[in-house]
Amino acid sequence: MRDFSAVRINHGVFCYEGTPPLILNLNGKRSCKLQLADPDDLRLLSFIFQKGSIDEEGHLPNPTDNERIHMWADQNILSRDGPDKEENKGSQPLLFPLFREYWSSRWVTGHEHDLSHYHRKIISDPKEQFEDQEITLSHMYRFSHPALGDLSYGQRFACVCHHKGILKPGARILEVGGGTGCFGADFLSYVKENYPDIYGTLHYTFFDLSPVLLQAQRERTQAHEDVTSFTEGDIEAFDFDGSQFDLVILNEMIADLRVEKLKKSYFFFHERPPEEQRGTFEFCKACGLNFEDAFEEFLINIGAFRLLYKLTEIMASGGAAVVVEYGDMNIYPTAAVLKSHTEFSIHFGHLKHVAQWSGFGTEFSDMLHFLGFRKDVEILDAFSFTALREHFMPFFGRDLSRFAHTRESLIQEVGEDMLSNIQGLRFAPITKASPTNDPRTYKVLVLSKP
Amino acid sequence: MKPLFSCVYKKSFRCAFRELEGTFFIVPTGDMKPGDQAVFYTLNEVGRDIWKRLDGHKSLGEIASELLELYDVDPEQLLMDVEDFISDMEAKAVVERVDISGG
Repeated sequence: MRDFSAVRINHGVFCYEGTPPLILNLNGKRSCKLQLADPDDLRLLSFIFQKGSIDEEGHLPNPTDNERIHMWADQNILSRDGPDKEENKGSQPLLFPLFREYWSSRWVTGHEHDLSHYHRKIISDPKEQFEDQEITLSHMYRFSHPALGDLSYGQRFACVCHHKGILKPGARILEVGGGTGCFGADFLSYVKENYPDIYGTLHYTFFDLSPVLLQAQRERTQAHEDVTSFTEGDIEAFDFDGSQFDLVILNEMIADLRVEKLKKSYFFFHERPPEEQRGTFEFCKACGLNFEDAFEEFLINIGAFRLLYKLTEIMASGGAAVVVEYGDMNIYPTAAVLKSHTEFSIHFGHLKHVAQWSGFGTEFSDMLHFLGFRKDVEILDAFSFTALREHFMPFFGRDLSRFAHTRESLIQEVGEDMLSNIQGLRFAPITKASPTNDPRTYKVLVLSKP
Repeated sequence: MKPLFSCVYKKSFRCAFRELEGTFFIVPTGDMKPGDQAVFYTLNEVGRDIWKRLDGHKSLGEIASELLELYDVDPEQLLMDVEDFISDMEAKAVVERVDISGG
């Protein structure tokens, strides 16, 4: 029996705008206590002050700014309005995911956000895509790393799949959205070296919507041409003509799939959804998805749901799928506004529900636990990385690759002489250095087909 | 007048609610315009346990009975607390009474 305490309701106040309210507070108090030591702080503040707010469509300058504002709030740099300031201390940073969720549903102006055209036609340079356009965990750990026991992300992934018993002899493997091909190449090389009996009998299919990325995957895995094949297409619509797979890998790709905006009133007030959304509405009803905790307008990862449902056809009995993406168990899709496109985080609670409804067994965890990252390994923190990459290195006409740099890898890339001239670089454990490098940000859903 | 403990309530669809890192939030969303200030509420554990049971079917008395299985508390005190909570939440328009008269 638990101890009883009288019901307590605390109150807080926020400004109801489609943008994070902390910024509005900041606007009203230019004499905030923030120490403007960091070039990124200066950039973000000047952006906000110039614009008077976030820009008209609610865009932040870049996705990491969300984290920065969050950090300011954590440090009480931003003032909080409301009647019970002390009582609400800490509530607004906690509420931040809800604000981002609310803001994101308004960011989508039509009834859906679809990146098919972007993937088919716009992506032109695989390296630039993952160095400058978007950040993925697999790219940040694409080389052997002490946090992964001196393996790369792809190698470690193969090792874990084998230990879990989902990579077996004769495996027909499908990787959808394989990026630059680094992951697949490392996966295959690791299997070849460590489990030659499996390598000799497997087949690995790369499937991608982007012809440019598919070509990169082909080039990157030339050493494995006897066991690989490549297919271009839209996974949601593609007809596999009865082909089945024993292991499906969806590594950091489902945030690129279609989101749709729905209204709570479709489900609770019998408001009729528009004709173009009837299919989605019926699908959600059939799955038994419950949206009672949502805002009146909300987004769903409909593309990811439909892909999971599609897996029921293309996964062999006894097969498994590993789905990796950033998101949370109970946060509706939130926008990650990148330079060239916008992605949406995954509501893993919904995804898991759809997977179970589709008949899959499910196992949920985060990448820290799935790949067994070592938490004590220190990497360059986000501020130091930005300062080096955006300001210091360009001054000397050099680049710095996007990577979860340890002190050693940084010395290797930058050179000991140059590094010894840079003061104040900060290194922190992988879970504290930067949200985008933190494996806990990325969740894993392993599906098993009976 | 019908005693409160026999009444049935449901969560208003004009609010969002979520548990974030162990804190339970309710955010009313009805009739808000951009720029308005709005209130959010956080509930303690007992409040959250009541909230989760507001399904539009269970009466407050039934909810109190379920909570008696969970908490070491005097039944009368618990029922009084549940009723106070609901009155407060109804005033804040985040719960709605369900008409189960059948008429």
